[in-house]
Amino acid sequence: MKILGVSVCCLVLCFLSIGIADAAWQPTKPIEFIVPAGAGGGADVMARFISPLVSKYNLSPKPFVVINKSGGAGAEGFMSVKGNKGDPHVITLTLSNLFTTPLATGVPFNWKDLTPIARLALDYFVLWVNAEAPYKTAKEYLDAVKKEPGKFLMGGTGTAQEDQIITIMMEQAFGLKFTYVPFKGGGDVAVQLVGKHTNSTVNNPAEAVSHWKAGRLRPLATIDHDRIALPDWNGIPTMKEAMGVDMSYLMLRGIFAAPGITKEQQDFYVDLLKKVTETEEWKKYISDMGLKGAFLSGSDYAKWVGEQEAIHKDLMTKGGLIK
Amino acid sequence: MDILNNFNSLMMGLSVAMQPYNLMIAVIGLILGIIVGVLPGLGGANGCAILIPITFAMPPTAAVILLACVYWGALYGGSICSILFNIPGEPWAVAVTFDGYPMAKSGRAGKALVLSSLSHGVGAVIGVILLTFFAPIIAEFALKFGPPETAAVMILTFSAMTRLGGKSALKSLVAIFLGFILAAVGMDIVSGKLRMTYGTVPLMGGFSFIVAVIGLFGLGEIFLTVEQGLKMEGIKARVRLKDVWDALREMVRYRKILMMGSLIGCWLGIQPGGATPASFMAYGFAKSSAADKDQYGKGASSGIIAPEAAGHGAGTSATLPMITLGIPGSPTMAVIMGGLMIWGLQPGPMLFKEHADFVWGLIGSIWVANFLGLFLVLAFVPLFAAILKIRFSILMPVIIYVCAIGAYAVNNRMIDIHYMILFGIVGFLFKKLDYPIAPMVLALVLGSMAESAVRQALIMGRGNPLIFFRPPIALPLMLLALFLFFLPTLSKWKQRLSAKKET
Amino acid sequence: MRKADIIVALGLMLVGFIVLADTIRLGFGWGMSGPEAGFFPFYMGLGIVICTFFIVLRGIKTYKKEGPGKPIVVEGGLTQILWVLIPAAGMVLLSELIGLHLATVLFLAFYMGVVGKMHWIKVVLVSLLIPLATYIVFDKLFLIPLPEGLWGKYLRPF
Repeated sequence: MKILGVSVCCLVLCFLSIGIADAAWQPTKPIEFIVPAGAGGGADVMARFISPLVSKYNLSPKPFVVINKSGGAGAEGFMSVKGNKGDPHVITLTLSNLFTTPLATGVPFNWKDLTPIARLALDYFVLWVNAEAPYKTAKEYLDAVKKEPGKFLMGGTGTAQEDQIITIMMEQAFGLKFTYVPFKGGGDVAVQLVGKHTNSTVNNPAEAVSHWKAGRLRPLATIDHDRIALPDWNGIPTMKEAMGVDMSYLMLRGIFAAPGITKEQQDFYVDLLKKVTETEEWKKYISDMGLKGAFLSGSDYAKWVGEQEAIHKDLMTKGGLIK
Repeated sequence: MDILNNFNSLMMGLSVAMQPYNLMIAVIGLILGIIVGVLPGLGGANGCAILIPITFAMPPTAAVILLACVYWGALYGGSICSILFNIPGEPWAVAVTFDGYPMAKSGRAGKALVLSSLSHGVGAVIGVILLTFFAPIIAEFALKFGPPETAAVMILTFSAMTRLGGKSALKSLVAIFLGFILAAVGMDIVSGKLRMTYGTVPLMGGFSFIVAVIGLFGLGEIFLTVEQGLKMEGIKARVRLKDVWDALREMVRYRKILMMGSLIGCWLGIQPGGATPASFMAYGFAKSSAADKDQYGKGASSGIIAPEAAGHGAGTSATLPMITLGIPGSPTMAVIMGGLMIWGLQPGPMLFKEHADFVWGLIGSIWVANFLGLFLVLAFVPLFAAILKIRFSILMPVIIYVCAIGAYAVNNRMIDIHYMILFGIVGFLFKKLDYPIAPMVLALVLGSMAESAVRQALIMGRGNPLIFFRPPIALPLMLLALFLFFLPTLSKWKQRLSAKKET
Repeated sequence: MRKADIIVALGLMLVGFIVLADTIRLGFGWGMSGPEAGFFPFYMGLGIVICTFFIVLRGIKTYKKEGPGKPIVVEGGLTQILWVLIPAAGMVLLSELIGLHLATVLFLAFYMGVVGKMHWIKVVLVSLLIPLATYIVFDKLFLIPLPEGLWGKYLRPF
C-alpha cells in the first residue's frame, strides 16, 4: 500500500514536472524576424543566416520568417516592432541604427521601447586607403590630411550613421578635417575607394576584405583598443599603436523583441540565440565576416545598450549631427 | 591567350552546368523565376531571398545555379504582365508597356510576347559573350564610374526620354516634377534627414515605385477599360505559328536597334540599378532614330525590341560587378551576394582566383539557363496569351487581388495597398486630362538615384558644378545629353532655315 | 472635362504648396558643399505651383469662352467605374479586419455572382480555390505572411 502510495506520488510528481517543463513558453506561430534594413545588406544577410540554422537544429517549433522593413533608415522597422506590444512572435535584428536613426531624425522611438534579448556580435571598423596611394601608415595619411583640411574625401555609408561618427571621432582626436561623402551601402563605399573616387573609408572587414586580398586596398589601422583576433587581421595595428591615441568604435549586432513580453518568452529567445552562437556554422560565419563574437544577454545587455546610447548621443552632439 | 584560357574555362563551366542534377535545378529555378517575375511586386529579389534558406543544404555551385535561374526566369517573366495587362512587375519593364500593351490590345499578344522573349534572348547572349571574354576589362571600366559619371548617365537618360511628353508641355512638366517629389519622400541618404514625411510613420518608407506603377498603369488601365462598358468576354488572343515567324522577321529587320539596345543594356548593367535607365534610354534612342515615329506608343515592334534587349542585357551584365567587385548590380544580385557569404564565399575580386570552378559554373549556367529559359517562355506564350481569354468578371477581380498581394509584398505594409488604389484613381484622371504618366514614372524611379548622385558629386567637387564635365567619361556623356536635349529645337531651326532658303 | 481639369490642377497646386512648406523647413539653399536637402524638392514644388497656375488660368479662359466641354467620364462610364472601384476599395478595407485572403473570397464571389451573373457553382468554386491556392503558396510554402487583419488571428483555419 505504502509502495503504491509512493509510486502514485512519484507519478504525480512526474506529471507535475512534465507540466512544469511544458510551462516554458514556446512560439505557436511563425516568428516575424524584422530586419530594419534592405535585402542584401549586413543585417539582412545575418538574419537570413540565422533563420535556417534555427530550423536545422530544431531550436524552435515554428520557423523564423525574415521580413525587411527598411524605410527611413530602419525607423519603419523599429516602429512596427514597437507597435506589436505584447506579441511574442516579433523580433528584430538591429545594428547601430538603433541609436543613430532616432537621434538624427527625431523619430519618436528609443531602444527602451523594445525588449532587449541578446547581443550576438560586434563589428570592427578599419581605416582603408587605395593600395596605390603613397601612404603606408595611418600616421603618414593622417598627417597629409592635416596639412590640407577638407581636401581629402572620406567615403561612408549614409549620413549621421556609424561611418560619419568614426570620421568625426578621428577629426576631433587628431585635429583634422575630411570632406565626408555619403553613399548608400558599404559595398558601394569600398568600390568607390577602389575606383579612386574617394581617398579613404572606414569599411567593416567584410566589406573590404576581398579588395584587400586582391591588392587594391590597404588597411592602415583598426579602430579598437586591441588588434582583431583573427589570423589575417591581427597584422593591422590599432589606432593607439599607429597614432598614440586610443580610439574604439564597435557596431552592435543584437536582437530585440516587441515590448511587454513575459520573462519566459524572453528566456526562450535568449536560450535559442545562445544555442545559435554555439554552432559550428556560426563560428565559421563570424570569422569569415571579421566579426567579434560577443554574446551578452539579460540585464548586462540592457546596461551595455544604455551606455552605448549615451556614447552615441555624446559623439553625435559633439560632431554637430544632432541639432 | 587570355581569351583562349577563358574559352577553356567556359567549357569547364558548361560541363558543370550541364550535369543532370544542375540541369534539373536550373529548370526548377527558371520555372519558379518566371512565376515570381510574372506576379507584379514579386521579383527575382523576393524569389531568391525566400529560397536562400533552402540552398543552405546544397553544394554552392548548385545553389548559385538555382538562384541565378530564378533571376533569369524573373527577367523573362517580368515583361509578361507589362504586355498583357499594362502592369510592369519590375522597374525596367515599364518601357515595355509603351508599345507592348497596345500591341497585345490590338489582338497581337502572341507576337508581342514572342518579340519580347526573343529580344531577351539576344540581349542575354550579347551580355554573356561580353561577360565570358571581357570580364576583367569591363570590371576596370565599371570602377571608373563615380558619382559624377552616374549623374551624367542619369541626365543622359532623361534627355533621351524628352519626347515622352504629352501634348501639353506644362502638364508634362507637372508630371515630371511630381515624380521627382514622390521619389524624394522618406529618408534622404545624403543629408540623413526625413523629407516630406510630416511626422508620419507610413511616409517614412516613401512611395515604392512598384506600388505607384501597379496603380498608375494597372488599375488606371482597368478603369479606362470599364469606362467603355463592362465587357464580360475576354479578348480574342490566339497564338499562331505565323506570329513567331513574323517576330523573327521583325528581329532581323530591326537588327540595328536590337544591337543598340543590347549594348546599352550591357553597358549600364554594370551600374547598380542600371537596367531601368538602360531600357528607358534604349527606348528613347530607338524612337529618336526611327523613321516612323508616330507608330511608337501604338504597338511598334522596335518599341518592344529596344527596351527588352536592353533590360535583359543589363540583367546579364549585372552579374559582373558582383563577381568581380563584390557590389550588387541589382537588388536580386544583392540577395544572391548575401547567399554567397552564407555559403562561405566572399564575393569580390578574389572569387575568380579562389573559386574559379564556382564562377565558371555560374557563367556556364548563364548560357544554359538563357537558352532553356527562352524555350520555356516560348512554350508558355500560348498559355499566357490564353489568360486574356478568361472572362473579364473573373480576370478583373483576380488581377486586383494579385496587384494587392504585389503591392503588399514590396514592403509588407498594408498602407501600400491603399496607395495602390489611390494611384489607380490618379492614373485614370491623368490619362483623361492628358498628363503624361511615363515621364512621371521615369522621374519616380530614377529621381532619388539621380539626386543623390548629383549631390554626392557636388560634395566631392566642393560645390563646383564643373565636376560633371570631368574627363574621360562624364564629359562625353554630358555633351551627348546636352545634344539630345536640344536636338528637337535644333531640328526645328534647321527646318526653318531650309524653309527660308526655299522661299 | 474642363471643370475637372481645373480641379485636378488646383489639387496638384495644393500638393506643391505642401511640399514647399516642408522644404523651407529642410533648407533649400546652395550650401558649402552643394544643394541642401530641400533644394531639389523646393524647385520641383515651385515648378508644380507655377505650372498648375498657368494650367488653371488657361482652363478658366477656355471654360469662359467655350463652356464646360465634354464630361471627363463617358456618359454612363462613371457607374461602370464605381462598380469596380467600390468593391475593390471595400475589399481593401475589409482586409484590414478579416485579412486579404478572406476579403478576396467575398470580393470574387460578389463580382462574379452579382456583376458577372455567373452560375453559383462556378462562383463558389473559383472564389474559394484561388485565395486558398495563394494562401498555401504565399503563407505556407514561401513563408510570406500576407495581411491577416485585426481578427485574422481568430479566423485562421490551419
